[in-house]
Amino acid sequence: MAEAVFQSQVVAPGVTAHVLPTDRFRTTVVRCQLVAALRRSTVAALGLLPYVLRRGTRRLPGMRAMSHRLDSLYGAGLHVDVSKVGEMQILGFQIEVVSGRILGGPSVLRQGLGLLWDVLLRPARGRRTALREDWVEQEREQMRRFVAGLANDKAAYALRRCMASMCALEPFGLYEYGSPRALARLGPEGLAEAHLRAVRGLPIHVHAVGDVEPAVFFRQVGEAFRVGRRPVLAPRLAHSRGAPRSPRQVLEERDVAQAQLCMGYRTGRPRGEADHVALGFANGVLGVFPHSKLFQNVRERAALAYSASSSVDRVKGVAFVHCGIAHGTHRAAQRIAQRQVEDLARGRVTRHEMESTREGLLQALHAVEDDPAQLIELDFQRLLTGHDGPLARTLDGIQRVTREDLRRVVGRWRLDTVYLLTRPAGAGEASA
Amino acid sequence: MSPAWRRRAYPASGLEVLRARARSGLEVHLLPRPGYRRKFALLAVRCGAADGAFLPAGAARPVELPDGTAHFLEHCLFEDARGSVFRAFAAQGASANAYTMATRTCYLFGCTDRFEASLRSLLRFVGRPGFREAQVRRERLVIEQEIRSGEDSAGWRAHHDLLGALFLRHPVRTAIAGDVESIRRIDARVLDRCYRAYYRPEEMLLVASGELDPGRLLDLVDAAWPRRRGGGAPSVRRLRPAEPRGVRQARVERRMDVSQPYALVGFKDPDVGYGGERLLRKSLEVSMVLEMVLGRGGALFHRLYEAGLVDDGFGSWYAGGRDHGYAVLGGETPGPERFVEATLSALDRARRRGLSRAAFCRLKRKTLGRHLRYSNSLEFVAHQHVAAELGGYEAGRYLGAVDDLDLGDCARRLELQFDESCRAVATVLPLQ
Repeated sequence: MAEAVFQSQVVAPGVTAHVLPTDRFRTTVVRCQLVAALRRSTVAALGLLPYVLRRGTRRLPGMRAMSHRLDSLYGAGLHVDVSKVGEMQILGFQIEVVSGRILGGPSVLRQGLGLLWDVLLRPARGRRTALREDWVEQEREQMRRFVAGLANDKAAYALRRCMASMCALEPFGLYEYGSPRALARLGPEGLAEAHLRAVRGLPIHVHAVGDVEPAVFFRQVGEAFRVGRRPVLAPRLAHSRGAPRSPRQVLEERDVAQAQLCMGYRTGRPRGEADHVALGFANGVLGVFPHSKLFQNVRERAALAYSASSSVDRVKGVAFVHCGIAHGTHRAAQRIAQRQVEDLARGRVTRHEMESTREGLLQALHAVEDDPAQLIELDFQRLLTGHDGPLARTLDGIQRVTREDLRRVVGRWRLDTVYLLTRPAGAGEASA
Repeated sequence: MSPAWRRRAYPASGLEVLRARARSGLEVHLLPRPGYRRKFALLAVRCGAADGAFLPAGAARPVELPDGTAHFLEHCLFEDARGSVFRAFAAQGASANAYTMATRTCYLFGCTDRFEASLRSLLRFVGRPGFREAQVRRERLVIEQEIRSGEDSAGWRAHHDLLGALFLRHPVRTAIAGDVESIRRIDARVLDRCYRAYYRPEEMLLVASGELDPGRLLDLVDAAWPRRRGGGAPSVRRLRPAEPRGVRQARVERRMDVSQPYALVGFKDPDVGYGGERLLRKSLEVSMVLEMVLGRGGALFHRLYEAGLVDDGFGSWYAGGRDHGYAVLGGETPGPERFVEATLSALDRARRRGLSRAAFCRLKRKTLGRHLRYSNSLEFVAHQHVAAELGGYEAGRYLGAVDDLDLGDCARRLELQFDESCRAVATVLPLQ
């Protein structure tokens, strides 16, 4: 099959539309993403904004009206999210409708798009401010509880705490929804102002995959964003910082049945596309696949952990190793996990590990072609990192990664923080 | 196409199913997906956590295996003498997985290339047991960690507590993986017994989907499993205790380290004992009632959300098979008492005042469209197909069955399913 390529056009100051017309899917997906710098002063407001906006629009002022409209558009899916890439905060607004070829005809997409623009640009007004004060209050409370509830998923909690301890002095240490303290200070005025600044001043990418005619779509997006946009600058990708001379140790005690060990590394920012690809490859060898070193050596060989994995943020230049382990085994687990990173840094990688990772990464990239949302996500990530050449180049890059490349990029890794979540010393088996 | 294949098309959903019986007696189904890069295969075995008690053919005494045996077996089969099974899949760039449910175990993989090699691996691993005590001991440690990681999740705990309260005897009341105690009683001999009882072609179904050639698929299956296996001996007879009416416990409560309470309300289905399209129809009716009374577009959800008693994680669903079923609703809530009371009185009110026809029509539309949206995914379609085949109906009939839903039937279902005598409430509260 021919490579899936988005056609792009700048349709308003700082607004770029990207279209991939295809009839392979049963749906059309349109996703609109706002790119902000991750900053302590704005992170909480921007993190809350999408959740207030989805509550209702001027035309559909309330969640029941919204929900009824989505139902009658054949169960269209409206979805908002907030994420962090490097030191950028991404606000996503997405709608997915059944293709008009199958149900409802072309008006379904037109109405779905209208709803998406309304959510982003024409929120229901409050009595005093441009946003509904009661919704702001309710969503703030929901968010407060959500942030507090992050502690319930122990594995995700441990990773986040490790990240925050390691990058306490950098924007990357900020949680993408902000801190409970910052949330508490938010009011409808501040949020309304953040909204106005965001829709007028942040860089925006609007992607569409499905039953879409490019010229028509470019025109529609351009018209939607006639909202007094000012020219905008893309935010800086990330600051970099070195690891401390000896790794920070962070211990947290809670009543948990399983201990969580998380290790944060400074990897340095990739120098060029070859390094970018090699760093992703190294992460694959280390802890993404079932054949990866961590899974094989911490879980399968030493039977110490149920989960053992790694992740990397190539924009920021950090990597994390994470294991869910039995209490009292963290020393052994840390030793074995560190050993895996050292082996990578020395180029000690088996042929099986190299080739399985290569095959896994290539197939994962190919598989993206079957999923409209993933097609959009991949294209967006490539736009952000600047490695937005043809996909064939990335595939080719993966084909050519060698042990020497892994040795080069992992040789720069420095262990920065070791975080352990475990039950208080002396707590017996009874608490499990 | 060879005459071995029976073809059936479902124009409404744009789906097609090819069915054939391989030489070994294995039923093979192909769900063609032209234009897709990905390919997917799933081998379902009618051996689940609820199948631990059975009468072997010709035997007088029933066999009762320890809780968690089916799940343990799943872990051990996706292992083999040369190391982890996952390695073999990974070497082909495929991602493999396996999971156990109450009445089935599924082994699956997805890939974009080298499908045939991966399918051969799948059939080899599941078809060739060989349980060694050393491997069993090692796997036991891994499963123990898996059980413990579930114990740290409030949602998992509440769900498990709820099933234990709803059911008096049906094995669905015990956790799929068993508990730390029961898995100590599982050894190579127990696994072998379970394997010989259920792992026969006539108890299995192979589903493949993607752009695949039917002839090659069948040839490959025949080459991997050339003979009728298990000598065509009659299968064992499953022993499931008859489930009495009523519940074991109307309320169950536990405390653990969570940021806010978690509450689930469950209703045991009194109308069981059949499969086929009637089962499909029933599960659609229950889901429709749940959606009408408790869904996002209803008055109750709106009120609870504005009062901060539910969040986005609130859900309701129906689960079950031929001989058991239950409806569940709930999620995190700061006020479990008020939440439970509000949902119960909403169900009561709906019973007294009847269901709204407007909502019924709107939600039918939503259900149709949502199903088509999910059908973008090969995995979704294959999983649906397996659930349907084992339930005794055709997945392609789903959209037709939604179309045929009747408001009067839903009202009767509301009466029958949501009866006080089959209700239980499970709550998890934060530590004091």
